[in-house]
Amino acid sequence: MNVKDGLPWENQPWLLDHLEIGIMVLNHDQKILLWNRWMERHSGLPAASVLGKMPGQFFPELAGSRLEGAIGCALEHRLASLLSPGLNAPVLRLYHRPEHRHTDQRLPQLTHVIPIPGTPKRCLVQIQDVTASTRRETLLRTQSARLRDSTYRDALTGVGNRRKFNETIAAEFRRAIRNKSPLGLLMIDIDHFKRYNDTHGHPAGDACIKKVSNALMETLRDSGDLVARYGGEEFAVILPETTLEAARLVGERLRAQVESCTQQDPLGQVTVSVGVASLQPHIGTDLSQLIAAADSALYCAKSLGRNRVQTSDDAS
Amino acid sequence: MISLDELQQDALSEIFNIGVGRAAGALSQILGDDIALSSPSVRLMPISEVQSLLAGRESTHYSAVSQQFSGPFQAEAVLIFPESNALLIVTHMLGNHLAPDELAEYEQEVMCEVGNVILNACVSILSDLFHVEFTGGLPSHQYHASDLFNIQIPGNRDHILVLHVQMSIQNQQIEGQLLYLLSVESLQLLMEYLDRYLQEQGLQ
Amino acid sequence: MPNSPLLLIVDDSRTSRLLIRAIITSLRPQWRVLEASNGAEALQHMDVDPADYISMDVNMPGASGLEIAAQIRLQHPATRIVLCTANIQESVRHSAAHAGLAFVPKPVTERSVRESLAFWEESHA
Repeated sequence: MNVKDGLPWENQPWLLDHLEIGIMVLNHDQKILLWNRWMERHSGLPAASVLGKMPGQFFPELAGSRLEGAIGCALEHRLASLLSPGLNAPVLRLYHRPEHRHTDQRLPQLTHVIPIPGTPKRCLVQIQDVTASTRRETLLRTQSARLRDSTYRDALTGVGNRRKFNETIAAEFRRAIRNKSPLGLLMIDIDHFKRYNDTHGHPAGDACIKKVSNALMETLRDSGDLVARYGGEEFAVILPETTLEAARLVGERLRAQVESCTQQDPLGQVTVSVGVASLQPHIGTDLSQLIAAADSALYCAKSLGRNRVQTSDDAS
Repeated sequence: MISLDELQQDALSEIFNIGVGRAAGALSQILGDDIALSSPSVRLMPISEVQSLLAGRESTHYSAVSQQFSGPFQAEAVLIFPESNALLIVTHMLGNHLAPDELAEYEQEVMCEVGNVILNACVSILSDLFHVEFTGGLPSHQYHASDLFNIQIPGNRDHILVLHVQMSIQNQQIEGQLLYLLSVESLQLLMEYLDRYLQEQGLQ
Repeated sequence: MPNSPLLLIVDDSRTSRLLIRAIITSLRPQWRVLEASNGAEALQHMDVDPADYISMDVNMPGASGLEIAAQIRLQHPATRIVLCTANIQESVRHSAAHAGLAFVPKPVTERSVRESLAFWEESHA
């Protein structure tokens, strides 16, 4: 314990050294008056080497930082400050474990800067290591991201599930109303899937669904359009800002891709039928109109012989 | 009821305008983005009328950060954000990768710090110009009130100094309203300091 | 005195205008001082009686002081303009430097006015 001058805590050195927080007291000229054992441990600097010096000498990142401003504010105006780890990068070179020093992995710091009553002006800088709570927060965030992800993802194919489809199409529909832009929708169904399943068994059926979804994803890769598994062997593709004709071209590309990538398949070729719809919704338009139009176009494609793309205006 | 004459009103507005400017400087440093804070409108009113300043806005919940100041007179400053704005600010500051429920957890800490920066800046300008010294305590995130009447403001509830500021974070088009309430034990004393300042400058 | 310098103070705060005027009057008693409380008024003044020096606030109702300063510099390139503002963000300092304006942070004090004076009178030395 090292204390200079007559300070109110002079009689409690034991107490200060056993606190699980960092305590640094600065004089009016920003020179260090007190440096508790926690600071020694986490900075690797013994008190004797820092007392009477300014913290900027061994914490170079302090220059121009908000912490420096807060210290100035406490010494000049006697105003306290709070620096949360969420908004402030760890400025002080303090480490949770000594080996973190090599990679400069600083401990996340919650810092309070508090003016000390009396003259000359002095301030207390109190640093809490929030590693544990930060880790907990990160963990929670990862878990909840994973959870969120799984509630929206189809387990077999990895594309969006029905819930994802419902939420996305509703949001895109509102956006289309707002932007007065067309919204395209494809409904895609694997041809003769029941027969395929019965002939080759369920595992092969699952593999077939995966193959088709991979082909769809591959074709749509950078476009930002959403593929979702709508039902058993049915997929939906949401195409924002896409007219009927443009949507038909996308549908045709998808159909051709499925056809060509399964051409050499030992279990036999797989094809899909595609129903295409697009509309420019306005206030009062019902989302179900769009889905119904794509559905009936799909029905039409099926009845016209499958492995084909049909638009909603052909269907009606 | 104490009232402000035109010069006092203008002087207080300008003083807090400088305070708010300092706060914006500090906040833009934290955010790495331009912050526009409008010149505050300063009014003296009973707490019952503060509610009406916020009435009719979409948000009915408020996020409040308060801080005690002691010096020649005791003061408590409270910063009030409509809750939707508070969440926008937190979202902007922490990035968009958080879910709404997680944001709420961070909100307290972040709003405390944002409030701390603004409240300190506004008090530091008072002490600079009036040559007085206040000691500021740490901020606390006080209330999530649906009704401003629930916000406990000590002192004379008939004389609350209200600063109304618009805040926008420029590159993000986030706009927020914030109210800064200064409840002083003795408004009379604050006015005396103000008058003395104006006299010293030869303006009164 | 026909050749006494003319200073135009543009600020929506009456307190700031009064303060600047009071300090200038004591430091440069021979100067003439005009006031405008917004940008539009400032432009009118410049049409009628162009000022040699301007103290310009930034945040005002209507056009910002930065815009007004830019307009004035187009028509009166010799006028020396100081931005005297509470807006101390880096971006404002940067814009000021870029536009050839001096930047003096508020509050208005004798020191801040002396800083402005140094800039205004720099070229006349």
